[in-house]
Amino acid sequence: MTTQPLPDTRKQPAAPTQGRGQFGSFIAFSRGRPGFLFGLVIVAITIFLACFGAIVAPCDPEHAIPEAGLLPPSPVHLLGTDVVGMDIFSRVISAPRIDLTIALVSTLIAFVCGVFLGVISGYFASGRGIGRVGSETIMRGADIVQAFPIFIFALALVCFRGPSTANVISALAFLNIPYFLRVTRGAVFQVRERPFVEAARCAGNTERGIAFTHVMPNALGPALANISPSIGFAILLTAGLSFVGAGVPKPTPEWGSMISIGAPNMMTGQWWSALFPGLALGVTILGYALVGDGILEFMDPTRRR
Amino acid sequence: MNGARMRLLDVSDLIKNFPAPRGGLVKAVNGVSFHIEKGEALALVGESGSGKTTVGRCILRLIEPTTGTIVFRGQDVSTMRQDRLRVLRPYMQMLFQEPYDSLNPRKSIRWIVEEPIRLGTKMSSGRRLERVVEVLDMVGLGSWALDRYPHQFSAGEQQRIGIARAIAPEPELVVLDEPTSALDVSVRAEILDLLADLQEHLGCSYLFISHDLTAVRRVCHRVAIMYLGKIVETGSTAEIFEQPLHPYSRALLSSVLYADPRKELSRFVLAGEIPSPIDLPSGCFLRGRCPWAVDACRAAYPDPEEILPGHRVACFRAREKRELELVRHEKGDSDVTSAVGQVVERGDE
Amino acid sequence: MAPLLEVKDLRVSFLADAGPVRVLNGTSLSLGSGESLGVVGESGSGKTVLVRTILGLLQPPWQVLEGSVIFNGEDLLKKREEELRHIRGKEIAITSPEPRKHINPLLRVGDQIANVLQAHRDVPRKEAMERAVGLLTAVGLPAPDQMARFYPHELSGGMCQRVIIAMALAHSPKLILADEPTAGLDVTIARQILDLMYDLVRDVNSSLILVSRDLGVVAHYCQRVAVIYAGQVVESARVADFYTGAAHPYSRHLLRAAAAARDERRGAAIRLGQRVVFPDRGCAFASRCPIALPPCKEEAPALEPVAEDHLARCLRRAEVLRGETQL
Repeated sequence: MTTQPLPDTRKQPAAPTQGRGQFGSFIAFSRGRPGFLFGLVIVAITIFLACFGAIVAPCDPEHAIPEAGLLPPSPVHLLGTDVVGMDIFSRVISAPRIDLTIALVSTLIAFVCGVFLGVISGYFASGRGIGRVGSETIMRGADIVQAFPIFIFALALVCFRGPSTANVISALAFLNIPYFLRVTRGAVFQVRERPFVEAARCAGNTERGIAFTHVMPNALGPALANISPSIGFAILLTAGLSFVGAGVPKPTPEWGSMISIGAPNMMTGQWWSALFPGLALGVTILGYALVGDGILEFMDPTRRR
Repeated sequence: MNGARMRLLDVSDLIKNFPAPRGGLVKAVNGVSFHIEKGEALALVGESGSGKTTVGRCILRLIEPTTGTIVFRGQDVSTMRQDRLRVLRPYMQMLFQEPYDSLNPRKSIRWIVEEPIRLGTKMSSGRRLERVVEVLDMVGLGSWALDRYPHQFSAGEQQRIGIARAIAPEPELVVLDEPTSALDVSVRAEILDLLADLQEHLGCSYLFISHDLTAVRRVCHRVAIMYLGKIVETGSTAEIFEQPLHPYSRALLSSVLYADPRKELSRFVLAGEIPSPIDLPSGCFLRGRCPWAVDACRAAYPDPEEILPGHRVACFRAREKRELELVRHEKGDSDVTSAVGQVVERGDE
Repeated sequence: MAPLLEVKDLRVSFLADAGPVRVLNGTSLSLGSGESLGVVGESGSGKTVLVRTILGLLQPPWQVLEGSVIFNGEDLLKKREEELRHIRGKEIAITSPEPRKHINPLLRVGDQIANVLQAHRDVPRKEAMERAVGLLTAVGLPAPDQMARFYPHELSGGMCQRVIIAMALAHSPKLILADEPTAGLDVTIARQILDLMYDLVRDVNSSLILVSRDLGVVAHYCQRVAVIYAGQVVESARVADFYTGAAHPYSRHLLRAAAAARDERRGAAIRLGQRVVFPDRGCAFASRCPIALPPCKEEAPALEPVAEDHLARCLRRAEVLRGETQL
């Protein structure tokens, strides 16, 4: 009745379990959350439209036919026409291109700058010397930027340098940096207390090395989760700026400017020219916010195991 | 043969104070002096508030000491600049209490174990990989672990990875901060065996910090017991277990609950709570809880006295009590206040 | 005499995203009046879940799939929340491995004990406060009338645990569930707390279930021991019998490990390898068991007697008990 020690079946070359495991759990996660799935669908649609919207549109989104102005929804013009005769449906589905471009680029810039500044101000916050001074300066700068009423600030920036897409992007990026900065800073405070950071010191890392090799990758979570709602918010802000005429130039299809053009008509009964872009805007922002919530929940370690 | 040159680490009068949250000072370490020879394993044992963890971190300069000298490899590292200290890092490593949290969750095992040698030595990339595999083998893992991530391992294995990382740069001193406290009992013995074997095999010195006196027994040659920032007793492991002379050491030993209902529980239990390090009692710190306390204990803190060769105790009454016990022992009286330890048989190791 | 508490075939699972995870897989145990039982297991074995199930404290995504918890002749799992509230704190009390987390940080300590007293008995506040001070004295806290006015953050971990014990004993319950009462406490304090609990439980003649990872604690403070592995009780015996001769390979492994961790000699530990699994067939421990045989993987053993008042869940229990295996 002899027994053998059981073979350790894990002494094999590592299978690529890392990626598959995470993806699999993501699928399982999404399955139980209809809100998140809805958000994902919205995001997917907007991305599709951003790429192909202008191509699949039935009419040229910038082609104005004054005689066909303010026609109600019909089989020819699915969502009606606006005051200068442009097809609303085509314009609604072409708008994501500009909206999303502005939102993505500005969010990306804000993310990169915000995370970088967040790591510096978070990691070097305590102690003496340059690190402390730099960190405090960054935080006060963020306070100042955030103290301005967002809209006035964006307006001022854009009016100062003229309305153009590039200026809108700069304004939005600048305004969003403090959010990424703060969430990253908060995460950095937590991560830097963890033992592996002390271990990195024992291994001979410089403080800068620790901040960017060890702390930053582990502090990205909240910032990444913040991207999606930031995109939604950027779209909203772009729309707002366009609404007051400080955003994208007029004929370019953009939800905000469409609402602005169509708003006066609502009172005279032509509800379609402002309502549909408004709905599109609302649903899109909701979708991005839901995705952001979902990602945040997915990455929350207490939810797992 | 200069005795001092054999000393790898020499700590004198180390003091560390922290600012307390509501003003005042937390006197974590109150004048600690000890030394570790080359190839020796010293245990630093104490409960919460003893300052043992702080001592370990001060030695590695993960915390800045308030005053005192720390001489490592002949150099005073207590105030050394960080960039010069970094050169010494490969020689002084640490093993942490938390198996998972001491590893960067986003890096592969290979990256983690390689880091100290990548940063601290001039080995080529190929040679580094060889060394990583070598130490992984030494700790009972293997090259199969290289491309995996920390969360794919059990706590015991994660701790082995931590050990591999610590020994990779061939350190002369390894500070072990409660290396088995977070592990289940069934895994503790394995890890302790591994640590003991490695220490003999590699000839490095250990500073083994623990609250569990029995955990250090199989790994360490000497033991220093700390209470509220001071060392109260130092001696060889065997002597501390067989003849603990300080009342606190006795209490620690008698608090051990062996997994054997037949072993009688000792009645040498200290009363009351551990005082706060912000508000230390005058005189001897133990006097409020000590069954032997007399007036002299309130007046001054006892200086360490060498009662037996190599065995120092900081207690006014240690010598007197010991002599009493020797007399009783000769008369054949069984002593209720003697320690729980049994005569240890030096077996084949 | 009928047992005070009888847990029969309890199955509890946790609904994770990927599907249900079994935690308790048919746990059974029984406890008589005035008896003390030590429940021993490692992390993840299900011992804390067991304790919380007994008190009906589980909420979704935890669910009780099967089984019964018979206390004083009634199945607690079938009771409504209303009825359970009358039992908790009064007939069955619980202590926590993290005393600070289970004490209200916003109330003074004396007030909290008085609240517990008033929850089940109609006494005026003044009397409740007096009794609270009495309880603080009973648990060995110095200057109890001043201590009653302290907030939890002003107390040490050991003192918080004493307060929790005071609350647990306020109504002299018939059963006390002590979940790792000395976790995180210093050894000298832990010793004091255990001695205290032992004396108080004896004075009140309660039954005690002491959950611990530490075999040493159970050896000295309990009359019986039950070992939990993978959500099942794998051995149940009197303490004296267990420590001289365990009948389950996992128990033997734990005992060896406990001795090895304290011992000066090396090489006494058995390295198990692998992880805990819940197989569809056969014994849950088989994949890690050093003496497993082919039938072990086919047939899941039941908890059966191997000697008087000694049960084990192993096909080879008789051999293990007699010391005929390598363990």
